[in-house]
Amino acid sequence: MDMEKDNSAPVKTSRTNHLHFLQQVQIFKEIANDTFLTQLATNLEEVVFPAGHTIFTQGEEGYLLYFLVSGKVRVHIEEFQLAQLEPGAYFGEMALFDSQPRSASVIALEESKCLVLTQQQVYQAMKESPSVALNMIRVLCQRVRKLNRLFGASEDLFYSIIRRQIL
Amino acid sequence: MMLSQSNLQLLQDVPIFKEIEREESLSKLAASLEEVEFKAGHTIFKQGEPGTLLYIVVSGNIEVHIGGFRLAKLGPGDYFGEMSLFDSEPHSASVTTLEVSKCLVITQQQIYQAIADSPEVGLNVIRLLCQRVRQLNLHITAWLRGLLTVAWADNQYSTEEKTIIEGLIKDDLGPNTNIGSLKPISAPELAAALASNAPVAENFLRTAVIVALANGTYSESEDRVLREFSNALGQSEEILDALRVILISDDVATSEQTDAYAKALATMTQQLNVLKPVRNWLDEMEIKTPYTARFLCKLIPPQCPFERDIVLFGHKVVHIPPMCKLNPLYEQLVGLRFRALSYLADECKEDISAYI
Repeated sequence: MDMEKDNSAPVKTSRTNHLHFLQQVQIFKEIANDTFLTQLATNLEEVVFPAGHTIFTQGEEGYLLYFLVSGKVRVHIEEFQLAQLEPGAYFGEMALFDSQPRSASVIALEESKCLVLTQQQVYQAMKESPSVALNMIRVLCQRVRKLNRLFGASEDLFYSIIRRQIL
Repeated sequence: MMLSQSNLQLLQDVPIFKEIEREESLSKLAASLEEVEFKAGHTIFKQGEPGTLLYIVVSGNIEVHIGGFRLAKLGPGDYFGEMSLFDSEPHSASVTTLEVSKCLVITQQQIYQAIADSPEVGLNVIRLLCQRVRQLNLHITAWLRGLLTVAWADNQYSTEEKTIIEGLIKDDLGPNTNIGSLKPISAPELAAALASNAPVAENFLRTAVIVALANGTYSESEDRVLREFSNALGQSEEILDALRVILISDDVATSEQTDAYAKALATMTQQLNVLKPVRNWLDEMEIKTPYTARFLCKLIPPQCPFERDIVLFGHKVVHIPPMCKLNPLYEQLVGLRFRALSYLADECKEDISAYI
């Protein structure tokens, strides 16, 4: 806040926008301590990736969490697409938390603007507000359930094969 | 006091409670925990039930399962029930004791308090869930690629099959997933992904055998792929050895020979009882979601199809008698379809006329 006084108006707008954006993100919902979110919003870095830019590659180390503000990105393992993300989504959380290499690659499908959090900022956020951790845990539980269902679906594949056997 | 001291030691060894800075918050938790004892064969909770407790195994042996299929075996220091505790969704699997077992029980409120007192607890849970996501991703892609490798072994990958597999994946992974981008998998890669989990590896091999038999023949190339997989996964080759009786050369024979072959296959499959585990598995299969039920109704034809010829690359490859005579799983499939329809009509109050 103390730097670039002459430029404070646009910066302030942008920070208010950041706060507004964060409040919409699933892992920051229902946060009791609102001042912490305001503080977090002021410290966020904003990055713009051109279309076709690889944001990170599977197997790399990485300690940044990205929130997609605008644009569209593709999450993929080699050529196999796992998801296309729209504004409000985030990515990069797995490697940030478990310090393993990136589990997938992410590429910008169009010009995409992201807010970036460091590992330290995320840990600090969890210290200040346990709800952040709980929200994150819930999101991950949903993902595990979804994958379990998909694994179940791959057993359903079994039936399709039996069907071919009898037709 | 003694109890809470040993509780504390147990907690410190549980991955969720590792590397906690403020040890007093863990002592506080340990002192407030209740211990429960279950007798052998007791179902602690069932798939689909709501859950608000986290269990830590103190002693004994416990099984996590869906119907008759074992997902995991747990012993002292392991924990279960954590997903429903956090996301308030029904349990995704059932848990049953294999012998007399003692567990510490943690309530939702207690774990929330522990996370508020020590943020490391929250981080630990997140890390463990991340690991599980990675593992599942690995399992699922390896499983699918493994089955596709078998399906592709003799270059007979039908468009119908492709459509079905794509449909399965799209439902859960989003509309832009391209099955064509899945590559065949090598035996060592498959083993690296699945071998750590014996039930999954065993189930994979069983499914892969059915894939190989699906087109009515068991070819040399299919046998080769299956043997590589079986070896790499450390599975017994008993079934594969039995199947060698019906092995045919990759050069497809004349139609009289294939006719005779189809008849021989039908008798042999029944004699060898290769499909007995599958038969049991189908009978024990519980239909718990409308997704599975609808899928089964679409998949299993409502009545016995008539006999027909299978034609590939312009040649008659095999003659299939009416399915009820040939298929050793006919009764299981019909039963399964009936149960799926009943589930949709009774439990989901769905209109099932489209399937009849």
